[in-house]
Amino acid sequence: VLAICLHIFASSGTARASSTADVDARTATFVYQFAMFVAWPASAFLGAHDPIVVGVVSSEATADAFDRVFQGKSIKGRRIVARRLSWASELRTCHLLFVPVTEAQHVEELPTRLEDAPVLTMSDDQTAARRGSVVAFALQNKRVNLEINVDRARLAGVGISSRVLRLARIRRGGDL
Amino acid sequence: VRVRNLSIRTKITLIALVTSTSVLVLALASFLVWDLVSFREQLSHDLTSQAQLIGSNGTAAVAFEDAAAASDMLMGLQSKPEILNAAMYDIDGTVFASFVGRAGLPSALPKHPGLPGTHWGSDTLEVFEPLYLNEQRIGTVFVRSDLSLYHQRLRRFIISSSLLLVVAAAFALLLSARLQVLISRPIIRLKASMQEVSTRRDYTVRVEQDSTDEIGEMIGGFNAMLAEIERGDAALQEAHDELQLRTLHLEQEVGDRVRAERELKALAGTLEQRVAERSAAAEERARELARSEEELRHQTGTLQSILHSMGDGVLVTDENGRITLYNDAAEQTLHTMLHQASMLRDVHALGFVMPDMVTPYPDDQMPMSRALRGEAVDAAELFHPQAGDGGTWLSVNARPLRDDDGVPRSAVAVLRDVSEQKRVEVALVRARDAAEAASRAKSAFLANMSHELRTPLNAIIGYSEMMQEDAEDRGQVEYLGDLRKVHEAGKHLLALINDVLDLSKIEAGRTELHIEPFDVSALIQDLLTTVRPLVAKNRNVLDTDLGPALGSMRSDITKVRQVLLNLLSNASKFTSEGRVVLGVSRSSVDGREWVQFRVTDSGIGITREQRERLFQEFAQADASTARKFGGTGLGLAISKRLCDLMGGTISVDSEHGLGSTFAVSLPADLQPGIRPAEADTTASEVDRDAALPPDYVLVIDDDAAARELIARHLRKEGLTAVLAASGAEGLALARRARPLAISLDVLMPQMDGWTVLAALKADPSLADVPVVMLTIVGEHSRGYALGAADYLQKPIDGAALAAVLRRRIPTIARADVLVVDDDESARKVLARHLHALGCESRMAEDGAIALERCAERRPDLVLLDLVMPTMDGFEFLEQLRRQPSGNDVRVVVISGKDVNPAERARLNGQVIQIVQKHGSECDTLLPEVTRLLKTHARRDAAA
Repeated sequence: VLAICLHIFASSGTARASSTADVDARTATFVYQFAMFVAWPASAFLGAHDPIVVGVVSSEATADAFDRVFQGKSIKGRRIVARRLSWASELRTCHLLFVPVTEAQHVEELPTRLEDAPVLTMSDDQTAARRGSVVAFALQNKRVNLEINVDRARLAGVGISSRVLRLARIRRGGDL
Repeated sequence: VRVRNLSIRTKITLIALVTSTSVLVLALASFLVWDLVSFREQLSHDLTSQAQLIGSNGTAAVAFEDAAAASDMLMGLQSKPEILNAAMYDIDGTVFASFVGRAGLPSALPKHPGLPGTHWGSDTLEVFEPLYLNEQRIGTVFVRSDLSLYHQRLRRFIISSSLLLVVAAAFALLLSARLQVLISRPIIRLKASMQEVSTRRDYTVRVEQDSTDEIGEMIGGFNAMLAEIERGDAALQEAHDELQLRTLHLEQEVGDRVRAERELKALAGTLEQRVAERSAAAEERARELARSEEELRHQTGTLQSILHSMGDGVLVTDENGRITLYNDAAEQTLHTMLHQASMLRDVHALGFVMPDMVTPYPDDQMPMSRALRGEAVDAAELFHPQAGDGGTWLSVNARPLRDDDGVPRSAVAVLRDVSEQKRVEVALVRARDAAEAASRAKSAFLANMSHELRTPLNAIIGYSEMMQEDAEDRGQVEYLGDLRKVHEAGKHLLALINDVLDLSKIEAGRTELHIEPFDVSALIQDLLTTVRPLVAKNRNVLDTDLGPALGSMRSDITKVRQVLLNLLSNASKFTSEGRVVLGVSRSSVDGREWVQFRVTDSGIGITREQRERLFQEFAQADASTARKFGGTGLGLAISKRLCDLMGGTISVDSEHGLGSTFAVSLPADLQPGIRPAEADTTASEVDRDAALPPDYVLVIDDDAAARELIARHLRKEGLTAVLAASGAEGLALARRARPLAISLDVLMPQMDGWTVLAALKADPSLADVPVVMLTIVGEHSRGYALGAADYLQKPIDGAALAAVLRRRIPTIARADVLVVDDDESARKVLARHLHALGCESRMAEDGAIALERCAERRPDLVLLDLVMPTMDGFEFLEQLRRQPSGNDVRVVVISGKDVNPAERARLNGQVIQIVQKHGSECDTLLPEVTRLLKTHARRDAAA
């Protein structure tokens, strides 16, 4: 998989690189905004000012784009930081795990890997909420397609504001 | 038309109409304003809430820049017809999503959001509500509402309230038109009547007054006014008639006068003739007058010489108090003063003073002044400090000298010099005062002596007796003899002091008699009990020889007892291994009842020579007897004087060596005042009140034999019986002093037992006295129904009756006795005795402590000394009786003090008995205390 990815990135070239960076920035902004409507259990943090860690299973460039967007931002007194992860690493060390569409084939693994840890999983794969992620979203012009699996969110112990749920298509079922 | 000239009917209607309408308008207007204001507030609040709701729901859509979602949300406002426009602006102020309602205009949306809050337009209400996320403003919500609903409400309200106003005004008009009659009708009626009066001048018209309000009063006033006018009219008519009558009289009178004048002229003629006759007679008179004047001059000369030769001064003043005449004697008495007064020509300037020798004699009190006022003054005393040697006392008689009309024109005073007489009088008064003071001092000395001498002796006697007992208990026999000697000597000294004091009291005439009725047999029983150990001491036998029907006597029981005790103790003292007989009988001599007591012994007897001196002081049979037999030698002297005092006699019949008989004869009914005893009126009153013994059983029976029988049985039981021969007498006795119990015969003449029982039960103070009914006929149920305690059938078994009575009287229990005495030895002796009797005793050193003891616990009996420091017995009694719990505590006074009549009056009613303590506690006082306890110190049956 990694090889394919690298191949795609490499073949897309610099011209495509800038538009990819735009998309990444927009995705990162949405993740940040979404995080504002999320409430983690107090046990997810050690201290009152610990940052919200957003794990990104992606390329270096995407992670950088997240870093840039998160720069200087905070939610309810906590800074928000991006951390690049690989599938091999421990996924439970972050509060929000973003799985890009390019890595969507791993989404089914998420429930077993995370074991109900208070980690909000998000993916921009349209089907992700039906396969193992909590949130699946697709950014369109002037419109956000949002699917939220409320049962998974409850298993993870992560609260999502009703203001957001109102905009989303609600999915249920922990094993789907 | 001016309102003022409208009819009262219209005015009242108008007032009611205007008042009610304006009040209604005011109420409606204020209600409208209040309603609109609150409606506006409601609208504003609703719209703001709507905007907030939209904002809250749309936060995420704005944040995610999801315009489609935001538009969807605003579409939800379609259900609200009043919303014209709504929009969401992003943070840059551009429209992000918008909504146009059914009546709204798409172009009407503001380009940029306005200030947050509500904005009122003429037809619209707009709200800008800012949107916040993560404490940052991310956009604005705009909502615009239509106000047509508000205007519609306003219109509807105004129309409906105008309708209401019209209906209310019509109703008010109708109501006031009906009700105004209440006020207007009487006024109109009054007006009509007034018109009638003024047109017809008929003052008999009256208006009917059918209410008492102001109009009613006005009508009343109008009527009264008419009545007044009517009366005035009548009076005017009357005056007019009388004037005519007078004119008629006057004319008649003028005619009479003219006639009289004619007659007068005729009289004048006769008068002239008479004057001539009179002048001749006057000349004859003048000659006669000259003759009598000569005679008068001669008489005056004689009178003058008589006047000047008189021993008493004579003084004459005219009606102004000026001295016009005085004789030589008056001049001699008052010389210089008289000259001075004569010069001043004023009798008041003589300078007399009142009999107190200081205060100037008031002018209007001077005998001369009083005589000039028409009084006859006899023996007025005047003093003149300057006249004579050391002042002159004058006794003045003054008389008015009246003219022919009886008016006093001058006064004559006869002055007698009584200075010498006066000086003797003053000396006499001084001597009397001195004698009285001495007498008082003697009395006080005696009273003090009796207390001061006895108190230490009491201690000596009491302690020596106690020590004897202690010595005996501890086996210290060697002290017994000495202690007995101390004790005997103390007792002897005390007896001596008592006798000397007694005697001196009798000699001084200070012994009072306390006359009361008492039962002779009871006295004898009491005496025998007391004297029996004394008689037994010399191994003598005591016998009695009692006559029949001894009954009761009225005398001073204490003194009778004293005399008999003295005789009995003498008899047993001078007799050994012999017989002492006390005989009593009753007889009637010269219509008076007498009781004779005889004490006969078989002792040493008395010789004829001794007999002569027997009743003198310090005269025992011979000098050696005193040493041999003891005694003070005063006993018989005292006895003799006591018998004299009680109107009786004492005599002796004896043969030397064979024994002697002393006979005492006393009147059975001693009347106070027969003896010249010094008992004053208060004392005799006290005696009357104290006539009944405390705590007695009342026996009411018409049969004398039955009474005596019952009384004898009661005495055996230790109860005092008072006998009444009729129901009325019994009731009177019971009301005077409450008896412990009553034995009541049913069959009696006049007032029968049932009537007496009913009267007793009807008297609240006597209702709970137990009554035992005695009768021949068996009427048990009636007796119990009427409240009798028990019922016995005649013939009476005396023992059964006494037992029944005993049962009915609260029994003697462990009485709580409070001993109040400042003398420690007296307290100890009494305490020991009380303890021996099984009583509880508490001690108090003075009245104040005694009051505290009484407050701690109510005692059954108080034995009270009178003379104490801090608070004496009198004050203690007063304070005790003032307390609600202390007013019925039984108190017996035991005092060494001689109680005088005034003190006795003070104690009367407060204490049940006064026991005089003469020192020898063991012999007389303690048995007396025992008897008192048996009688008085019983606890109430409830306790």
